[in-house]
Amino acid sequence: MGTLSTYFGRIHDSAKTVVVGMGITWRYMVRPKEIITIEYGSKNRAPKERYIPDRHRGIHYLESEKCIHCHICEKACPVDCIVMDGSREPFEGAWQGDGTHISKFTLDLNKCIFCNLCCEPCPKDCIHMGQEFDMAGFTRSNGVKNLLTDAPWSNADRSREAAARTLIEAAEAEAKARKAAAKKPA
Amino acid sequence: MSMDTKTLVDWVLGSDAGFWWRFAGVAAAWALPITLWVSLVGLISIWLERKISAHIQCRLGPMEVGPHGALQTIADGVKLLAKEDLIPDGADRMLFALAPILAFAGTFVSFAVIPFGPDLIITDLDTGLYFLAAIGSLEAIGVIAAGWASNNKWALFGSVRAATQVVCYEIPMGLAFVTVAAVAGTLSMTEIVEQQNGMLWNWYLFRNPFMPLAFISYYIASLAECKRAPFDLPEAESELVSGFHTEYSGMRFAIFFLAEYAAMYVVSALAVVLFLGGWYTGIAPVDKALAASPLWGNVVGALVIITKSFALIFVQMWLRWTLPRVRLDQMMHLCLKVMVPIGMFVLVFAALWQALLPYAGALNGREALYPTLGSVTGLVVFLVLVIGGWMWVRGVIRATTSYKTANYRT
Repeated sequence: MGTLSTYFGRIHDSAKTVVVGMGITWRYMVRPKEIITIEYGSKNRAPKERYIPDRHRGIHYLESEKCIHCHICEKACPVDCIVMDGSREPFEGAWQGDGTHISKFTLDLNKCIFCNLCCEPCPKDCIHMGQEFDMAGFTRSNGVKNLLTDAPWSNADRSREAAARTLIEAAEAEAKARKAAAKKPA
Repeated sequence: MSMDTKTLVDWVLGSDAGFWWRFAGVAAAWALPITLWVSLVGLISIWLERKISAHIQCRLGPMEVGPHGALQTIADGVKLLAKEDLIPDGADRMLFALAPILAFAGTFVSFAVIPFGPDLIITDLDTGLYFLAAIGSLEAIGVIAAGWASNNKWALFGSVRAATQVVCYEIPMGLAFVTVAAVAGTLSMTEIVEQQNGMLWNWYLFRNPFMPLAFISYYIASLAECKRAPFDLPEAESELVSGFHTEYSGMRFAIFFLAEYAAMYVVSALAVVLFLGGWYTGIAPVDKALAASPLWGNVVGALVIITKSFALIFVQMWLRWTLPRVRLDQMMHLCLKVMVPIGMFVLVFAALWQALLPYAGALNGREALYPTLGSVTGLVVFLVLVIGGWMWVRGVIRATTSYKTANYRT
């Protein structure tokens, strides 16, 4: 190649690569389908299954109808963020578990380290790490989540908790008395 | 509707008010609308830039502030207003404060001779083109001063690069100017546009077979003038932090930013005036009808010239997000060893063409409807460049890149 053909060859190559590159960027620019950004908080946000991996450890969810209220998750939790209460005996305002009656099942997200240790030992496989990731709140108490209602643990819940405790004690005392009465004739 | 600067200045100077009041009067009459327009251009083109870059890179870009993020720039501007205005310890304080003003003034003053319509021009200098070529370099002075005053090695590198670049791009740009001046026989902006009256092929882009080359040469040089990629060497954020404005923050930085985007408009509007028929739509009957009414002629003319300018700004952005930055020696090679010979060739042959085949069309209404030999060959060269280039590019893209979309999670 002579000097002159190298010179013009380079001009040719530069022009070619510029125009080819612009062709490629144009193709991307005019194709809105190529956009892979998923907007946070948008109304037309894609369903979570599209962008959250299956094994993502988001906020827990509880299948309360399977729960046997065994306290294993509460004991397994390394930061003691799960608190639960309930009884085998039925009482008013209880959530129906699997043969149990649950009055409280809260998870303190301020403490939770999303370690999955509560889900692993669950004998009924009823507590799971969910895909929900919106955890921002205006107060600390917003972080305490009532897994029975999927809402933050409210003041109304707190007063109901105390009432439920007395109901549980009454129901258990009554059951004990019933058992004792049933034993006596035998 | 006619805006005669001389009458206005005479009126202001002839009034009984004191000097400063007169000064304020002139400023309010001309500087205020231009300031507003510069800010508006900045707002629109910064938003456009972010959206275009986002879509090229498969992103969404700003979406939250306003519809599709249209008000994002205003929010950013408010943020920059509220930021602390830092001056580094070892900086040359006066020069540091002066530099953004110099850079902005350069582009701002250019608007004095950039027409928006047949009568919408602040001052139609007889030497308008020369004035623009001279004042266009003032921004580079501001940039060099900024880098020097910052007392920062990265900023200094940026300003030294700006100095190198201004020496390189001015020559091919000047040659393109001279080519247009040789063809037009005038340096006045409005006269240059008026000579492109008539049908599309009367535009200087198609005036003779060499003008498309002059246009491309000017366009590349104009990219270097407003420090756009691939010639953003003075900023070079991946090499020099952010080049000459490394030490600038708050409003001073915003002024540099605004100056850059205003310069984009200035060079694009100049390309429109010199090559793309200015305020003419390129359809002779429409232009004739518009010219009959001063109001509509100016309003539609302004819309036409702004639309054309923004089309060129769009190409600037498209190029920026396509090409990587060239090295300094590559920039010098391109400007001095490629574009100067091309510019010389174009100048000589365009001048010869003008001398041997003088163009009789544009100013003569009847003939302007028919293309001349020059326009036909010019149009043919342009179409060969565009269509041939396009077909060839399609072939090259198909042959060399297996264009498949990435396998995203769906």
